[in-house]
Formats: sequence, C-alpha cells, structure tokens
Amino acid sequence: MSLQNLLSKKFIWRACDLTDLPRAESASGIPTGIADLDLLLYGRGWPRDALVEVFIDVHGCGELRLLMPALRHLIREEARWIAWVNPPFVPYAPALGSMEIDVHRVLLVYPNSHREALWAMEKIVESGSCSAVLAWLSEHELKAKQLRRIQTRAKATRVWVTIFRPMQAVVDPSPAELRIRLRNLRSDAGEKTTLSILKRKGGWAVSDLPLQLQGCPDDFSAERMAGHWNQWRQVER
Amino acid sequence: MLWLCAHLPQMGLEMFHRSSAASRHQAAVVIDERKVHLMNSAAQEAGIGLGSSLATASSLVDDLACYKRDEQAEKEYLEKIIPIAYRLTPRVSVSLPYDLMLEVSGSVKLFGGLKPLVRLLERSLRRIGHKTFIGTAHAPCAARVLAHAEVATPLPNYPDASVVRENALKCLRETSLEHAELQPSDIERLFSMGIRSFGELIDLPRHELGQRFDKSLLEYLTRLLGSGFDPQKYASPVECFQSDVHLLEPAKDRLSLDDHMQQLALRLVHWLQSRQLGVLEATWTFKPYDDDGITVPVRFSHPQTRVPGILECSELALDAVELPSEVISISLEAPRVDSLLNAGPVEKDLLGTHQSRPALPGELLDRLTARLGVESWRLLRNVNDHRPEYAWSPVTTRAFERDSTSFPTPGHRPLWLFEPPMPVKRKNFELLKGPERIESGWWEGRFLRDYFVARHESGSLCWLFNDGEEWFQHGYFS
Repeated sequence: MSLQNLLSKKFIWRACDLTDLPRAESASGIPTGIADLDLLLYGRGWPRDALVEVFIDVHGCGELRLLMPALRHLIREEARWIAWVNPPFVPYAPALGSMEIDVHRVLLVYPNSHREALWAMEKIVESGSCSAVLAWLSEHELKAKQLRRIQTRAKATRVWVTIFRPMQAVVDPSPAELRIRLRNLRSDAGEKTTLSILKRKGGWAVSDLPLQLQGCPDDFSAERMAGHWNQWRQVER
Repeated sequence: MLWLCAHLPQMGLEMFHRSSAASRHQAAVVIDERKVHLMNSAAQEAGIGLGSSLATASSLVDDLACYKRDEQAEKEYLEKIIPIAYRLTPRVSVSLPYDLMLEVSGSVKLFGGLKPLVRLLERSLRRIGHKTFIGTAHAPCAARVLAHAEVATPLPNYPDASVVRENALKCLRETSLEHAELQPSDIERLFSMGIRSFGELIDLPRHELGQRFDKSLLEYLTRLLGSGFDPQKYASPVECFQSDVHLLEPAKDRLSLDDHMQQLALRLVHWLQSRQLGVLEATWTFKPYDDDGITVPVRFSHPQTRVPGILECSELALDAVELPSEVISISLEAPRVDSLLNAGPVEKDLLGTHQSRPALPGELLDRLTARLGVESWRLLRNVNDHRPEYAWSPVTTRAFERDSTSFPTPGHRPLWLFEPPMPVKRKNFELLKGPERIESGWWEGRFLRDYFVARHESGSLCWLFNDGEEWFQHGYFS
C-alpha cells in the first residue's frame, strides 16, 4: 500500500491536523457551555458515547458545575435520565433546580459494594433509559480492565459516562477517551479554577485553562437574591 | 350453546412427571389400587398395559418411575389450571377426573373465530406440559364424549347453534358406546344386545328403552341430544394468588428450578390476565425437607404482566440470596397487585411524540431492586420547606408520580449537601459571603441558623452555618 493510499484512510489522523480538528460540521458532542473548552474537545463538546475521567483533589472545586450545562442540554434534548451512581454526598435538589436541571430526571443509585456498582453501571448503560451516568467508584478496587469494559459499553450504547477520581489516580493508565483535571489555584489575585486536559481524542494535552464556571456563589448579586426571595414568597402565598 | 371439553388424558401422570427431554425415555406409571392407571409412551413401549399390576410393571422396566394416584391432588391441580381456560370465557367448569368444560359461544367473535380459540386453548395447555384433546359439541356431555373418543367435529369458523348440533350429532353417531358416561353394566348390556355406537342407541325407541333400562339412561340421552337441562357449576377465579409446586425429587441447583418457576410465573400471569391486574410484588418461597425455607420477594415499579419480566427480576433476586441446598417445594404468591390503569405514564403518546413527564425507567429500576435491594435507588423530589435539609426528599416510584411541582429556591444552594451537617472548626475557613439567616420550623424545635459561603484552606467552596453556638458544614459548592 502506498503512503498516499494509507493517508486517504479515515482511521489515520495526522498530528498536523490537530489545530483544525474540531470542525463545526463534525460537532457531535454535548456543548460544555464554555466556548474555550468546546474548541479543544473533539466533536466540540463532551463525547456522547465515551468514558470521561475527571480528576479532583478536593470536593467543591466546581466538578459538578463543570458538567451542569451539558446535563441541562441533555435533559432538554432527550427524554432520558441522568444516573448518579454512588454519589459521595446528597445531590441537593433545590440547587439542581436553580441550575435548571429537572430533578425529576435524576436517578440516584446506591450500590452496596464495588462489584455491585460496576454491575449497576453496566445495567444502566445497557438499559438505554439514561443519557448520562455520573459515578464515584471505589478507587482501590478499580482496575483498568473494568474501566475498559465501561468504555466499550458506553461506546456501544451511546451513553456519556463520567467518573470522578482523586488526583492520585492520574498516573494510572486508563482507556478513558477524555481525562480532565480540575484544580483551584491560589494567587495574589485570588482563587481561580483551572482545567487541564490530560488526554483527549485528536489532540495533545492542554494545561491550566482558566475556567469561569456558572453558578459560582461569588457571582450572585444582591438583586438576584431579592428576586428569588420575592418569587418564593409568591409561591408560599 | 357451544361447548368445548379439554380432555387431559395423561394429566394424572403429567402433574408429577414433566416430559422434559431428559425424562422422556424414562417409563412412568401412575398406580391406583395396585393397578396401572396411567402410563407414558416409554412405559407402553416397554410392554406395560393399563390395568396390569405393579409387580408386572416393575418386572418389565428397571428404573420405573412410579407414582401413587391421589384424587384430591388431581382435583386441586385441575382447579389450579382453571385460569388458563378462564382467559377464554367466564363459563368454565371442572369435570372430574381429567376434563375442563368451557362454554364459548360468547367469546368466539372476540378471538377471531372458533379455530383460533381452540388453538389457543390447546397451546396454553401444551405449554404447561399437557397432552390435550378438545371436543366441540352443543352440550357438555356430548363434548366430553367426543373429547374422550378423540373425535374432532368439523365446524366452520363462526358456527351457529343449529350447525354445531347437527355436526356434533353426526360425529357422535359414529362414536363407540364405550365412551358413554353410563353404568358399566348398562354398557355391557347394550353391547351384548349388539348396540355398539351412539347412533344405534339414539335410534332405538325411547319408550321401550325406558322399560328395559332405568331412568338415568333416558336422562343421559336427552342431555346428550341437548334437549335436557344440564346445569354446570361454573368456577370463579380466586381472589388472591397463591400457587405451589411440590417436587418429587429435591432440586439441587438453580437450573432444575427454572422449569418449575416458569410454570408458576405462567400461572400467575394467567391469573393476572383474568382479573386485569399487574403484579407489584411477588414472593417466592423455596422450602427444603425440614424447615421453612427462604422467602424471596421480587418488587416491580409498575404493574408487571409478562412472564419474562417476572422471571428476569426473580432470577436477579435469587442471585442475591442463598437457596437451600435441596428444594422440595416452590410456591409463588402475589401479595401486592394493582390495576393496569395505574401503570403510570407511558413513554410516548399515541402519535409518538414525547410527553412532558418522562416515563420511569421501569425495567431498569426493577432490575436494580431485584439484584441490589429496595434501598438501592432513589429518585429526587423538591419539597416546599424553607429549612435546607427538608427542602428535598429521596422517594420511590409511587410518591414520585404524585408530585411534579418544583419550587424556586430563595438563596444560593450548594450542589452537594451533607446529611447530617458536619461539625467543623471556624478557623479553617474564610467566610466569603453571608450571613443568610434561616429561621423556621418552630413546631419541631428551634431552628435558627446563619448560613455562609466559605472557602476551606484546601480551596473548596463550602456552605457553613452557625447555630448560635457551633459551626457546621452543610455542603460543598461543587
């Protein structure tokens, strides 16, 4: 096979294509709600059919807020459910509501063990009734083999699976299609949340992209608070 | 009137000895008063004859499966399979020992004619392992004779009463008198008179016949011809479902249970169909010889009406428990059932467009419940309460369907909530915003808190409150 033939094959991508890979017409992803991030991702958004890993060092660094615009998009677009497998805390319904996530589409699954969690994830992915799965798995029992299985199932049934992992797991090899690290960086100007892409389809790693996440408590103005308060009082009456 | 008689000639044997692939070649007989009463084809091939003694039979076959006839058990068994017939018509009666009688003139049209109806009856009985012969006639006892003689009445798909009577009588005339439900002595006398078929008997002058035989023969003849009164005692379906299977040999593994579980699930589905219900909770009980055994409940989020659905969740539930090593009896109950009208929102309306409320992922939830337990999943619901920990509640299906409103939240709320709040030290946090005072719930004790948005040393955004004395963390702005 000549080199020219080989290059015409679709499954070969060249590193020189990197810069213009996410073309608008091939935008099959779920919009992240952050324009800068969309540009970096293959399909211009979160993949609809793959495993994504999000690495965090502490809870409360914006890991859920990062996904909220995409979940909102999915809920509006499809009649399917969002499954939360083994969430470490309670996903708070009023907060989800204020981010315009319909809480009537949230399914919380509490498995009793790691094996059950994997079984439940597989069933959820296969059932076709959920469009996204968010999972928190037991880190010391999690094996690459299991991740690969989740990734292939997600691919076959077109479900977006996101698992949240601690920062230590960054060094482990993983079959996930997209690996993302969220960090709070402290500087003189104050705190800022940054996002690094450790692994992505069709591109190199990107480090420390500053993020302005929606729904941050700091951007809540007094006026908006007053508006909410009035609305609440009206419902009470 | 259009009567069907489903004759199950081998029921007395089939209720014990299911003809599975493995057991087909094993000779099996049912013994009544030390004589062979029923036998399967393998026994027939071995040379055993009906009425031969147990000693003869066991000398002919080494591994003879031998069951003792129990008329009470036969009666109970026949009553258990009534729901199969009850799906076709409400007029079902039992005729001992091995017949089900159905009056179907009202349901022929519903099932698209007589032939599909007969086929359906035959197939459902075959599915639970019974060889069946169905006789069709204008009167119950005539249908019985035709079924016993294995004569099929030729009938159009939508027959009217006169055609049924005419054709059935035509068939009956050819049928041998040995199938008549008369005293054996009377049949013998008729035979010795040279009267061998029903036709010859019917043609005899009644008056003279009455002088030579007793009144019951004449009554039988009028009933046979459809001119006499022949009341039947119609069965009514039971109110609660409870059914069991007693195994003759203990089942030692899951595989051998499957067949029996399917039988029971099928009985349950027939019962549900007859009452237009779906099952919400089914309970399996597996008993060994010596103790009470274990009970495995299977729950469904929606009224379930199908055998595969019931069995799949049952299998998952069985995965989670340890069965007794030897099971001798299986029973199935349906403690909770519901009308199909309450089956909940359907996914799509008739035009295929999505409704505003999504359907519950019922099958998924049933699987999760069956394998991981009732506590394994929850749905979220907003509650109109000002106190943060009461502003949401985890619910299961029923409560979820009742409620659909959401309430605007007054302030900024974290995505992660701690349940219960965690005591923390104030010095580790930097307060960013607040306070937001929440004071409510005077009817349940004091509730007065000042909430703050704060940043922990590690950089995470937290939701803190001070109840006047101590500091607590109530969530993460994740």
